Amino acid sequence: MSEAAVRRKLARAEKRIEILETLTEDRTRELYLAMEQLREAAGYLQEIYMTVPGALIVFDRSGQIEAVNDTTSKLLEYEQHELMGQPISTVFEDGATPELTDIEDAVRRGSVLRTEKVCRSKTGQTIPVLLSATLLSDANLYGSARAVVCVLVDIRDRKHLEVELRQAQKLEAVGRLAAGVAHEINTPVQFVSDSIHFLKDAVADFHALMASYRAVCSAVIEGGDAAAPAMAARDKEDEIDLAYLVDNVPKAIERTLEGLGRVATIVRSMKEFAHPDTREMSSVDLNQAIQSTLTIARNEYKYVADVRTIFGDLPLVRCYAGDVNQVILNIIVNASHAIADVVGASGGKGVITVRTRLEDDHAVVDIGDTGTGIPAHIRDRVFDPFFTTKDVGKGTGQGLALARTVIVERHGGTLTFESTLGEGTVFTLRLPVAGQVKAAA
Amino acid sequence: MIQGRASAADHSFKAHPDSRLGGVPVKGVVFNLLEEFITREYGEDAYEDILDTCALENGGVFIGPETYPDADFAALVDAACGRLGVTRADTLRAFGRFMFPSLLRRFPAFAEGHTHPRTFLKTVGDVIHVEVGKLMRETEPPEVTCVDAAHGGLILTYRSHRRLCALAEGLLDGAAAHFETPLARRQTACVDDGADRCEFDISFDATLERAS
Repeated sequence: MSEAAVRRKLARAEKRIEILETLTEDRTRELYLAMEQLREAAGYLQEIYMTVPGALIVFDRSGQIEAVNDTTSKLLEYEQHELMGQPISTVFEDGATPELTDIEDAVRRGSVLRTEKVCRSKTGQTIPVLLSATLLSDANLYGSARAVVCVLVDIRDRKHLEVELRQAQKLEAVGRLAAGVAHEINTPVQFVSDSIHFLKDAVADFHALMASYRAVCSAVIEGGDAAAPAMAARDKEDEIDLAYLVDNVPKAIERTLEGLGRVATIVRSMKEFAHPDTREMSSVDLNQAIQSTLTIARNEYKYVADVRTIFGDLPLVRCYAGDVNQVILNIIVNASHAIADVVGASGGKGVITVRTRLEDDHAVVDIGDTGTGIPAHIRDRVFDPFFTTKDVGKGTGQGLALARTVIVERHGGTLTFESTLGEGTVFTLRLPVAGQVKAAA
Repeated sequence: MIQGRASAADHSFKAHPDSRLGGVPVKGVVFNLLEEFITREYGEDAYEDILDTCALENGGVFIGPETYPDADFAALVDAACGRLGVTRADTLRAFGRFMFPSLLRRFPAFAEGHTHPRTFLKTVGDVIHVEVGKLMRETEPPEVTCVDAAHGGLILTYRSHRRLCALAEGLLDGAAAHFETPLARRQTACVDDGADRCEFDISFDATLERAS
């Protein structure tokens, strides 16, 4: 190798060393900055992780808890170290632990598992929570899920508000129906009152007639002239129109009893409708519940529709009776409004058909109307909260939203409808006869 | 057993059209390996002559982790061919054969777990070039896909605007030597013949494969 070539090679080597030194310094500086940024980012994420207002829990595929944040400790009343390494079932009520397969299914659909669950704190307190769970993928393992990360949000306040909302809905319905119910009670009370007045007058007449008859008896017993008092008694009979009274007093009594019976029915229906909210389901005669609801809602539909009931044989259904009554009322009121839109002021009437039947282990209730039908473009929205097509003041848009919540979420049933524009709509409720196994409290 | 294309047309190395504007970067390690190759095969004087011919802006100082325009690489290869009197294709093939074990010495993890070129070649596009892309963000590795052929071998497709399919041939030979598994390769398509890709039909020695 020539000297010049060696010199050139040496120069290149020196230049290379110089560049490498600069490079090393630059990379060291970059590495330091990157480490600082990483530390800062890790601290920032750690702070978020610990203070996020949701309980974060990470557990591995075998269900062992790997990490929890402060909110988890506060919510479940455990110290963090007490939960580490414990099975995830520790924090859930029996049977409420999320299944890995459900989470994997959700992730496969490109979603996140979101469901309501019930947790149990260290002190045994049950806490309803909204659970969101997804898989924590380890990028180094090319996407295979290493663990599950879930967030629990305490929904006790929301549950409380839901109960209050349902109660408010019920009170709103009672208020709306009050005038109609008053009218329904007033009619029998009116003819009961008339009958009682008639009976009062009849009793007075009978007293006067009795006095005439006593005079006849006295004359006969004392051996005197009985003809005159007898004539007077007959005149009295004519005066009070005894034949009319004999004919009509029993009818007045019947009318009174019937009127009182109608009032009693309405009062009983109101009582059944306003069934106090309970945290537990009860066994309910659904046909009877529907009949009661129809009774108190009568004033809502009687001017626009006749009601046809076809009740099938149903066993007692485990449900929250007050809530189910509310749903049926909402649908019947909607049906009568839809029919009113068709018949208008024509004086004609439509038909509301209520049919019940048993299908497998579900009680099915169809409530059909001959109203306007639901236009196709709004069918997806009828169950949305605050969605209404009614005039201001006539509907809040809460009725069907609440109905779906009650039937689907609280009872594990379904609420669907079929509608033909210009012909009417049929809403179908399906309630599991045995009640929802995992119904949220 | 190693076969080239039946019509062994010379492959002209073409720098990327944007090379004059900075070009597509080539890692310094490739330049270092080229220097090693030429020095070992033809001597240090030959390399100094080639470097003189090229008159590169950086004076031929290449640092492994840095990147340099592919025009520099093209210039060095072309100068080497002129100085040594060999075709570009032969130069690139020989360089590929030399390059394979050298690269494996630097990055041994990529060959771990492989005892046969078949499984190794299938990871080139899906794993090795992906990892190279992660470590060296400014590089543009060629697109390499490998599928099973009906005859039991592989069909390897190479796509790169650098048109270095001859280098790919050399690397294939290097892989065969490393795994001590003879392979026969036949180039069935080439961008220099108007195709949209370069393609190799690869067969392994069935007798030896069964024995392994």
